[in-house]
Amino acid sequence: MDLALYLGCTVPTYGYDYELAIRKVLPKFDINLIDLPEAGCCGLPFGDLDSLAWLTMSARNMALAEEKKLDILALCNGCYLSLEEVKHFLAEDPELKERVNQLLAEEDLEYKGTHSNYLVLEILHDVIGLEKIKQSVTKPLTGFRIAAHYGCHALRPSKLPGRPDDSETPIKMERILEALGADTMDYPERLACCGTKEYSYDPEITLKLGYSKLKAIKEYGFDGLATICPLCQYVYDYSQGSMDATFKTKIQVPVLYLIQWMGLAMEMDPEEDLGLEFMIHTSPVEPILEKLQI
Amino acid sequence: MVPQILETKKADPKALEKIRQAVGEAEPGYCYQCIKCTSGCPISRQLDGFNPHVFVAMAKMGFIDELINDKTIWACVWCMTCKERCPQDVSPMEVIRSLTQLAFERGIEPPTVGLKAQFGNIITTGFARDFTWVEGEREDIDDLPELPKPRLDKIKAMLKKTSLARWMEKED
Repeated sequence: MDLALYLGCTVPTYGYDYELAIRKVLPKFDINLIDLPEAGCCGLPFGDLDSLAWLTMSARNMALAEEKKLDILALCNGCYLSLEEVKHFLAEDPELKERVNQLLAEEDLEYKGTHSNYLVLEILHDVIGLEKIKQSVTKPLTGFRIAAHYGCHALRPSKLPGRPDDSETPIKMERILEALGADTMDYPERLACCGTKEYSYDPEITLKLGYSKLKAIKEYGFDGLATICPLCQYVYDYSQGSMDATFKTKIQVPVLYLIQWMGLAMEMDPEEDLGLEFMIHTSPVEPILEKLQI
Repeated sequence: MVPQILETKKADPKALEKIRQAVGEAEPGYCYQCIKCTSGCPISRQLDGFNPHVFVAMAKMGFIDELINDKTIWACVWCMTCKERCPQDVSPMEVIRSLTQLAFERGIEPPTVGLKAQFGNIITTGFARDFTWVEGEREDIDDLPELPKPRLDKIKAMLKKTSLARWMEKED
């Protein structure tokens, strides 16, 4: 399967460990990733300011993929929902689509809406499938209890057609974790928002929201958290230092992308293949590597 | 908050019509104030004055001026829990988002610098985040390609045709 890899803004800046792991793991399952060298921001930050600007920026990236006759793989929940919502709005409203295309004409682009957008979770669970994932595991994550965090925009709003999982009782991440040999369970904060957008309004609120979830995960006895979105990861992984400083604590919860947990179970190199030692990955990895005897 | 406004403020039906158009089927008029939205809202618990059911109640009565001048409307985190759980299919999140858009259209600046900084990054790099701080480590990783380079002049030309043109004139 050929897919245009759409990075967005947060993956290349705070999540290139995620990008590396995706580029290393997915090709092993015959997913061929093709870059979009002219891609830009999905425009979601403009949603607060001007709808037309938001819609146009998202449509621009989709038009770039359509030019190559490719479907899109988005790594960020925010980008993914933005592309999906814009695709839906423009399909419902031909007049709006025409207005967006008038702006895209500046770059000789035309948005048609002929492609599909995928989230990593869909590729792993629905395209590759649990059987193939199980077969790829050479070092099962036995003895690990891992909490799943889906992120709001992977699930809500459920009214939008073609959502990756159920909005109130999602299960695909847990199924994948179990296929990797790990133990997992439901917990009350599972669907709680990471609060990343609040960083631009009041960072302390984001830290409070992030900290309350990590604290709960620790209390429930999980060994770590699995995420699929770089914006959530930015809160739960990258911001642990700020939480420690703000709340005078030492949280130390290992937070890895689902694809990184998967890479570990496939005995891929934690640094060369999964980027776990990069400066942008700040939560502890050593306890996991020790337990896996890597 | 609502009773005082009823006594002292005038409704703005034209602005309400704009909000209605922006939210489409998620008509705020259907709200019967069950407060499920605010009960599930993660920001409401952290920020005084951020109550989605109050925003919707005020919007449906047409007190738009009050709302767009209230800086807390910019605090919505877009988790969409309110939209998901509303038994009347109202979308408080989209009501709030159309209010910030209307505020911006009417010349009101966001209360914090975050959005403007992201805008600045987009017109100089094509991306909302500041790339410069990671370029060092990223460049050394052989298995990662160069960052995308969108045609910035084209992106600027598109954004000039939106209300964001206001920020661009100041930039130029």
